[in-house]
Amino acid sequence: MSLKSDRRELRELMAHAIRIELSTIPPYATAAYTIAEAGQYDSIAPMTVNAEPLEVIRQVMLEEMLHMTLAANILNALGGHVVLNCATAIPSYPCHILPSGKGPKAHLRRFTKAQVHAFREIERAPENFEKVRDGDCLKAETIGGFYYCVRKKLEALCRTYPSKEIFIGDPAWQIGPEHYWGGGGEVFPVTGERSAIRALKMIVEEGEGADLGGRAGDGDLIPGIEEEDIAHFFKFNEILLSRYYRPDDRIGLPPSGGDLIVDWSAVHRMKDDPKAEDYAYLPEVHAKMLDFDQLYTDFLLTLHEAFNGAPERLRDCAPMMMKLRYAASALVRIPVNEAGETAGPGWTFRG
Amino acid sequence: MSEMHYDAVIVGAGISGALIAKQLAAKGRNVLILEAGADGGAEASTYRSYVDAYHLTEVKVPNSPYPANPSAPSPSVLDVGPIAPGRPDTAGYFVQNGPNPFRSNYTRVTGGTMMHWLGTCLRMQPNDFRTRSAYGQGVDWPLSYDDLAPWYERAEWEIGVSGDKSENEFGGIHFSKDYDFPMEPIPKSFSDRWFEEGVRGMEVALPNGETKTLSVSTTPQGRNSTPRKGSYKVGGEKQPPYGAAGATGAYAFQGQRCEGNSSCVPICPIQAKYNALKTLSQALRQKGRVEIRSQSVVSKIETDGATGRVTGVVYKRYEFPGAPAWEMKRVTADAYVLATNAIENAKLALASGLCPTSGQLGRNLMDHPYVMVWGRAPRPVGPFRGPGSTASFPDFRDGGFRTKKAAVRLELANWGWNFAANAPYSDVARLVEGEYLFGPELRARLRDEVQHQVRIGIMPEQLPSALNRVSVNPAYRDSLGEPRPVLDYAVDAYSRAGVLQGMDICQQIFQRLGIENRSTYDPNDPGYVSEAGRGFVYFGAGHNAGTHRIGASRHDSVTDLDGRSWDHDNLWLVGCGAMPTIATSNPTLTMTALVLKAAAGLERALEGKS
Repeated sequence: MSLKSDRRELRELMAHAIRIELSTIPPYATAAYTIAEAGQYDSIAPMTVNAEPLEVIRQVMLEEMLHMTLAANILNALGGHVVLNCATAIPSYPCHILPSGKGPKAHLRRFTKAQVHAFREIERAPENFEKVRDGDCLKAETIGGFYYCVRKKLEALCRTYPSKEIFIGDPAWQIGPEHYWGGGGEVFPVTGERSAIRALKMIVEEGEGADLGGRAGDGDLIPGIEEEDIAHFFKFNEILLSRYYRPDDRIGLPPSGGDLIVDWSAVHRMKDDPKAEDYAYLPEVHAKMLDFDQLYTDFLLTLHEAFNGAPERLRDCAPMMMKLRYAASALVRIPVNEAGETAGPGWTFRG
Repeated sequence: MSEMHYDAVIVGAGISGALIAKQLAAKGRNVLILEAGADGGAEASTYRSYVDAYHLTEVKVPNSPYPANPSAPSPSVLDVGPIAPGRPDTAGYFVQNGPNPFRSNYTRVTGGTMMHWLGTCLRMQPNDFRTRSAYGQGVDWPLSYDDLAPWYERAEWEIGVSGDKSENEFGGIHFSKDYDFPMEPIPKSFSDRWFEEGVRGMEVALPNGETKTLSVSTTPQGRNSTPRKGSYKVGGEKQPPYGAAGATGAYAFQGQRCEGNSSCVPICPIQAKYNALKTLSQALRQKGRVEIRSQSVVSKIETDGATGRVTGVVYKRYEFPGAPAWEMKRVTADAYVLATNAIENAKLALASGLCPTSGQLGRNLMDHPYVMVWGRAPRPVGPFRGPGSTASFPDFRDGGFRTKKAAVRLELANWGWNFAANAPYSDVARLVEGEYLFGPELRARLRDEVQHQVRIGIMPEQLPSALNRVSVNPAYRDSLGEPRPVLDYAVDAYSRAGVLQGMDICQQIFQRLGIENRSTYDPNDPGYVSEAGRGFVYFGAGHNAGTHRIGASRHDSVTDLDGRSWDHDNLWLVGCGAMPTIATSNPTLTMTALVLKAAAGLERALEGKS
């Protein structure tokens, strides 16, 4: 194997990594946006119904965005190109998350226990990181296994060749904290082995396939003063078990923190895996769903520019994500049949 | 009944208390903060409950997110009523003697009133520190702009101010060459830019013969934008680039980036706006030990009659907000810091018989009597988005006219007639109930009306006066038996004349831009006052200041430059009460600079002892 072909392989793997991260975001977002945000007024303790599970899903989603950005930084550092401007690069639902076609599958579904179970499966840690067959990362059956395999390959490459021959990308293409901040954690430029490994570790520790030495915490600080955040798998477990973890809770034992109140009935009844094409018989709904797809497409095209030499374009993505949210929230309120099921966002690239 | 002895006991878990705790704890000190407010702030879920309360309440005033707490009551802007001569208004927490009502409030919760501040972080101008020598008004400060400049820099980095140096160098304000704000400026709003374009080159001739050319400058704000790249010298010391670790978790303590939720007052749902909880959580991460004890209302500061030194603090710890039951406790320390706010600091010190020498304690209560002018713009300007204000006309913050009239800052508002006329709710009510509109027609009309709303706020300086004061009277007590603040307050002719001049300038701006004036002032409003036959309504700006001013001499000030009481060697009084004059800038940044200076002085005093 040569530096060139190894580097090419790593670039391909990072392109897959970006797709993995991207593919989780629409399902999470869809579930979150089907939660009915209704006020429940109580003069002693006013609260918004399901604000807490909504917040938990939102946190996970933001961290996936962070991971996607870090993965893009690694790919760019390797001299590769992020591709988000053509339909074949964008997941279409339902889909497998991993390139092997094994492991968890992503559906666009409303906020239900079954869907949160499915999310938890996406974020489940592999019991043994070494299980990837023949060292072929594309055969990985868990996300954690995939990243572990990628990291081993990168480390091997770095042992063989000097850093400056591996990381040949233009540093000006890197996304830094000045471009991205407030979404899930710290973005940093990837310029060499150290920052690349750090980025890969951050992706793994926060989310899919956390290796946290038996604890639920992933080391991020949250404002519950001097407390730590917990990994995604456990965040979804919190929703399912209606209770928060404390960061030093042991894996395998139930959470021991405060109540997390979930009202599974305060949810818009979106029909599974919505597609604009399925609603051709309802022209207004069809048009609105196509509008949503167009917003999503414009968003991806902007993201594509941001990852391809114009990092300042990332700023324009924030209001676009707001628009996506408003449009999705509107769709999940439109009934489409006698049973009271509703339309929803299809997240289809229409370039 | 004495408990553990601390290096310092701080009364109040707002920004001042949090900053002092953080500075002392960084030096390894053991610090106790006593907070009167109900438990809260430390947990993410508490902040969440504040946001929910804000979303669900119908009257969205500054204190509405924060639960009413009879055990540590807060004043509310809704309590203010007219005051008849000789009959104090006792409807709210304040006892108001008048003649004019004091219309500002504060919040007694962990995090303090900064939970609902707007975030404006303006420096004072050099002449603001010397109004007595320059204009024969007010008093001179015991220090100059240049003396305070390094502390301003530190304050801006503590709060994490977004700002643009070049647009804030006016009226003598200057910045060090290798210094810059920690974050890029929050962009001007569309209406800011529309005003800026409209007044370009416009000159305003004042009655005293001065002519000013109008400018629109971006406002430095304690609000997350984009961290500025590079490292700078802050207070003369090189700092690494400003940390923006982001917001993992629901409300990571540094908060998210401002996304224009437009509810800075009363609460930022994503903590993009600075609040003192951020500093508190940093304080808890220092090497020293910081303990916050909430639901602890300080009742008395005990002193030694012979030496004047403070010997202990007695406080009432209540278990359940609202229940008239509490436990008396006492705690001792090497140093004691009163860091509540201008009114509570004065109240507590007066009730404890402290600081008698100068006779200034509790006096010189100041605020910005805030007056609004509003109108309909000839084009849509996109209000109700972004922070409450992102720019202002700074040109009348100083000038020769100050010998006769108050300086004013003219603040451009981004939220239409929200504060002025309760828009857009009042617009909905008028269109539905008055014009019987509904459906698409209602939406179209509402959009049209709201989109054209513009407003300018006039912030006049108020002079220190011995007659504007906080006092205590045993006849007026709260449910814990603690004294309620008794206020004497008047908006004097100097401020009123400044407001009138500001209103005239606003009308010239309106004329130039083709804005239809829609301002009306109800003579029955408790804040209605008149001057030279012209009436207007003032509101409180929440800028309570002046009650324990710093000074060069024990005879005309309560504390020295560092907030150390002249009468009590181990007692510090910090907060906006320290300000000898209030000028035209929102006081938080200046207060923060003074607090950081006080913290350094306090640490030196503790070092001298150990």
